[in-house]
Order: sequence, then structure tokens, then C-alpha cells
Amino acid sequence: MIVSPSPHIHNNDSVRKDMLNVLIALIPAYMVALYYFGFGALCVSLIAIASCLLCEWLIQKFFLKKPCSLGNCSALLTGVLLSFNLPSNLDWWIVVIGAFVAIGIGKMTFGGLGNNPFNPALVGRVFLLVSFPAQMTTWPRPLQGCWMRYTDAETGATFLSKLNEGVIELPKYTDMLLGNIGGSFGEVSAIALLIGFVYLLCTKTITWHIPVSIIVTVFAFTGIYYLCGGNNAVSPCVHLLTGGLLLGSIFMATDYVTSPMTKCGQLIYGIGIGVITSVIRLWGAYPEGMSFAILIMNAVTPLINHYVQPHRFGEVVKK
Amino acid sequence: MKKLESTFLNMFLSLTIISLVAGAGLALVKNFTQPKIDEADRKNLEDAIALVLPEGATVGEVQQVDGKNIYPATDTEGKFCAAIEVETDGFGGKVKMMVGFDAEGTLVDYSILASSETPGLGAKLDTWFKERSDIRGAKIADGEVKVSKDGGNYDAITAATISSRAFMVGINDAMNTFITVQSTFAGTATETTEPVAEQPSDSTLTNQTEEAQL
Amino acid sequence: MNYIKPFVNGLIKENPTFVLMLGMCPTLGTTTSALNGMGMGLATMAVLICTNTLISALKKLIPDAVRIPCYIVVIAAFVTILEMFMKAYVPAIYATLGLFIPLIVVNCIVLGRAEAFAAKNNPFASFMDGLGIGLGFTCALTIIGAVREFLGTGCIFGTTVFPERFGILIFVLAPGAFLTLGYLIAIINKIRGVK
Repeated sequence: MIVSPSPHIHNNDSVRKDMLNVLIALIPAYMVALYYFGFGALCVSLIAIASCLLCEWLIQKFFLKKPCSLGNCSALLTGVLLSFNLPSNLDWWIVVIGAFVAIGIGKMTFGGLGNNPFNPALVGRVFLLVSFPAQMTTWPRPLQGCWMRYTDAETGATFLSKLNEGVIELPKYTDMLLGNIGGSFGEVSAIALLIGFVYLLCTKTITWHIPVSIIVTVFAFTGIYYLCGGNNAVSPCVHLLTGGLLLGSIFMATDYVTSPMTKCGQLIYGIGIGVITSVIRLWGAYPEGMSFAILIMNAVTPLINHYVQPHRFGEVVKK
Repeated sequence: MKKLESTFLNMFLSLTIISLVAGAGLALVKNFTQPKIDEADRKNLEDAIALVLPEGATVGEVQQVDGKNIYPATDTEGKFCAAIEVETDGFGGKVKMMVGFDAEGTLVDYSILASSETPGLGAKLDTWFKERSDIRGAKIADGEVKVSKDGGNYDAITAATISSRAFMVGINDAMNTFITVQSTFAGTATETTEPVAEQPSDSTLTNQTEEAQL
Repeated sequence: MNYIKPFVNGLIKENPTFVLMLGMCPTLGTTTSALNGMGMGLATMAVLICTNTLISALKKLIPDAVRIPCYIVVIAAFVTILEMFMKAYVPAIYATLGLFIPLIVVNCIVLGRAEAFAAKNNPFASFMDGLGIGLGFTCALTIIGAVREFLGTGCIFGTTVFPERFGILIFVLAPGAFLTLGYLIAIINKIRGVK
């Protein structure tokens, strides 16, 4: 366990307040999801939240025998983030499994909030992606004017999965910005996610280092690939706007528990995520690599913290 | 008895003797099991060939064509048919399979001999194209087989497109080999039936290309 | 000398998988189904019993300085014999276990027991130790295999319990092996009362 040397700055932000800020920042993306995917998005998110809370409560009560920690909203946030990473037509029992894995395996196994090395929501998502590849990669098409449908929506592949199979069908930029494309229901609208980002920056919930370094790295990496005329290369802007890149870099990679503590460490962490994401997207078997990249860099975080430590207050740098 | 000292002679002797005894034991067991092993291997291969050929076909000697093992055979009516062993690049490595055709160039059946595809996904190859999207009965004359994503008639295994495509590549490879083999072997196998076997597939093939050109 | 003690010891108190945590490679690699796990466990048990007994019988004839090479020769010979027998009589199981059978040679349980037990005890005690450790290994692998097969495909020993489409595929794949092993060790530690 590495604790940064004193003096520590004390501020009044409690865990609960940070979690609530993140939840508020997710509201625009959720509104867009409800508009485009309707009833399905609502169902999936409610099921995910309910089962995350239930799982946390059960484990706290019967295994750890500790006071209830639902009040800090972290399980609520995990549920919301998990559901944002799922297609809106996913069967209810898969969502429940994902939520139990996220909380049970991703968080509580390691001793609860603060001790988990990996982002719980992403553990849940990746578990589902590997376990139910068929269901997790059939995405409903947005805007079918069918508010009451849940599991029988018309489906289609995402842009990235088509690209992975060698088919380039560029969606319109306006659609990518607004969210009128297929995908996990929380990741589709770039504008809504960026609004959330601005809110988080204004409330000082997160700093710019991680998201910006991820975005710049992916832009540079895919840009070079595009300029070199690689196989199936598309404009780097498209890479930024499709898939889970924005959702992941703004809301998932910035999780306090699993990201490095220092600014410099955060930049290294962000660049690592950017490189791994681009590599998986361009050459990997999976069309999208954001969640894998974040989990891999989560694992590297203790190492980054070890090597990139803040200078001690008053320390004289040796020459 | 006292434990042997670690002198050079003792070490040399004990290691040599143990190795010799072990070697002799292995040779014995090898002699004993080798026939059984060969038999098991042969039975596997024969089962696969019998599965993919029309019922009651008589299998001839194995032949090598373009580095592939071909098992020419004659069906109950004396017409030429063959089982062809092909290899294709799957998701997790080489997929080895046996594909059989009857005299009309119709795919009778296939059998996966060896593969390292992902369990639960690509590993479903062995049943998927029989139970879910039946490829049996595909005719060489109808041209290349493809998965529906590439504009063909066969649904790929859900979430295992790469394995399914590899499978199609293997089947097409076998089909092409069968055409080559049929023209070479058919003459020697049964001279009278050769034109009957060849004619329909040839004419339909030309029709196909004409249609494509139109 | 009590010959039951080494047997029980190997089966429970020094269970090679859940307590000693030896031989993790075949444990993780072959337990995709209960049957595969059991096959691997039995194969290892057969080798272990033979090597333990023989090495214990030969211990006076093997000078200390060359004991490791001698043990390895004995172990490798038995593994190769086993491999040939499996190829001849159970080719289906051999095909699924494949590479892991020759790898029993480097399984640290086998060499570990030769060094730690057979070299110090009489042949019959060593036989019982091999039986106990081997059975412990077999049970552990069968349990892990059964859990993975059940969660991953909905079957146990090939008998369908729930439809395969509800199976959680990850448990059949490599990550599922780590998850299953980890949680089983946690449960067993809880039962044993280890803090």
C-alpha cells in the first residue's frame, strides 16, 4: 500500500459528493439513450442498478458483516456505468449476472470500495462480453419509434464491428455527435458525454489529464495509421466519436480508486490506455478495445504509483 | 544396506543403469502399444472418411494432390466420389477437416479432424453446419459457398465469424480440389460413367459464369 | 508405522491443489470439464504412485549428488509409458488432454513428493502418499472441472442441467479457470479456518 507523503490537503469532498457529481454528469448521456433506445435502455439500467445495490447489500450484510455502505452511492454509480456499457436489448438475466460480477467479483472480493484494483463496472462488462459474445454484440438500431419494445428490437452491427470485418460504412458526423448510431446505450452520443466532461471539470471532480491524454493518444495513433494508408484506415475523428472511447476515458478511466495519484502518472496511464485501445481496434480480434485497455492499465496503476511519486514537501532535489 | 556414497563411479553407474532400464522398459511398452495406437489412428480416419462419403462407398488408396490427402472411392453404383482432407486457418490455429463429395459434386458431409477453435464459439463448427445452417447437399456447380455476411447462403456461427469464414475457405478449397481430382481419377476409376458425372457440373458451371457476366 | 496417515494427509491436509498450490499449470489448463479434470488427475495419480514407490525402493542405490537426474529419468519414463497407453486405449481423452500429459514430467507435485516423501520413507508408505496426494489432486481437478463445466455449459459430466444458452462462456475459457480456482481456495480456507 502506497500512501503519498504528507502534508495532505484536506478538503470537504466526501466520496458521496464525488459519486453524485459523476451521476449528474451522466444525466445528458442517459437522456439521449432514453430518446434513442427508449424502454430498453430504461429497463437495462434499472435492472443493473437494482441488482448492484442488492448484491452490495447482501455481501455487506452476510459476508463482511459491516455497516451498510449503500449511502456512498458507489454501487449506484457502478450499476449506472455498467448499464451504459450494455446494449439496450440485453436479456434481463445477463444484466443481473453482470451486476453481480461487477460488485461481487470486481469490488467486494477485494474488500469493498477503495481496495478494488479494477474498475468494477468494467469487470462486469468484460465478463459479459467474453461470456455472452453473441448477445453482447447485437446492438439495437436507434430511433425506431418503438418506445415500448425491450428485447425484440431490430438489431445491427456497430460501425467498429463492421470495420473489424473489413466493411467501411461511415456514419454521418452529426449522427455520431448526437448518438443516432448503434452501440452500448450510454456511449453513442459524443455531445452528451462531453457536456458531462465539462461539468466534471467545472466541479473539480476530475482533472483533465486522463481523458485528454487518452483522446490525444488515440487521435495521434489512428491518425498516423490513417496517413500511412493502413488497411481499412478511417479518419481519426471517427475513431474518437465511435465506440466507448469518450464514455470510457471520461467516466471509467478516471475512477479514483483505480487510476494513478499524480498528474504525471495519470498522463502515463492515459497514454497507455490510448495506445492499447488503438492497437486492439486496428489489429485485434475484438472491434472495440476501450474496456480491455482500461482494465490492463488499472493493473499497471500500482506500478505507476510506485515509480511516479510526488516530491516530498520541502525536499531538496539531489544533484 | 547403506546408502551409496556420491563417488564418481557410483554416480556414473547408478545413473547409467537407471537410464538403461528406463530405456528398455520404454522400448518394450512401445512395441506393445504401437499396433494399438496405429489401429486407433486408422479407425479415426476411416470413421471420418466413411461419414463424409455416400453410404456404401468403397474407399481406394490414399493419393496426394497439391499436398492434400485425397481418398478416392466408388459409390454403390460404381461412380467416382472422394473424401478430401483440407486445412484452413481458423481463429485459434489450423482447422483440419475431411470433406466428401458424391459423383454429382454434391457435398455429402464433413468432419472436423482437428481444431483449436474457442470452445463454445468456433468449436461449434463440428455440428453448426449440419444442425443450424446445413451445408450438406451444397453443389459444386452452384459456385463458392459463403457465409451470409459475405452474401452467401449459410449463417455464420453467432459471434464466430472468423471460424465460419475459415470453414467456408476450407470447403471451397475442397470443392476446387474435387474438380481437379474428378477429371484425373474418374477416367481410371470407371470409364463409362465419367461423362455422366462430369457433364452436369460442367454445363451448370458455364451457365453460372455466363449469368455472372450478364 | 501408520500407513493411513500419509494417505489422509495427502488427500486433505496437504491437498496439492487447494493447500500446497502445486501443479497449477495442468490445474488451470485441463479443467474445462469434469471429465477432463478427472482424466488429468487420474493420469497424474498413476504416475505419482509408480514414481513414489519406485524411487522409495531405489533410494539407497541413488547417490545424493545425482538424485534429481535419477528421479527425472524415472518420472519421464513412467510418463512416456502412460502416454503410450493412453494413446492406445483412450485416444479420445488423450486428444483433449494432449500436451498436458507429457508435461506431467515437470509437474512439481511429482518431483516434489519424490524429494520430500519417497526419498525418506519406505516404499509402502510412499505408495500410500502417492495414492493420497494423487487422489487429492484428482478430486480437486474434478471439482474445478465440474464447477467450470456447470457454469460454462450447463452440464456436469456431460449431463445437461440447464440449457447451454444460459451458460457463462468465460468459465470454460482460461480466465474462468483462475476465477474458479481462486474462489474454491477461498471457500476451502474458510472451511479450514485459515485466517
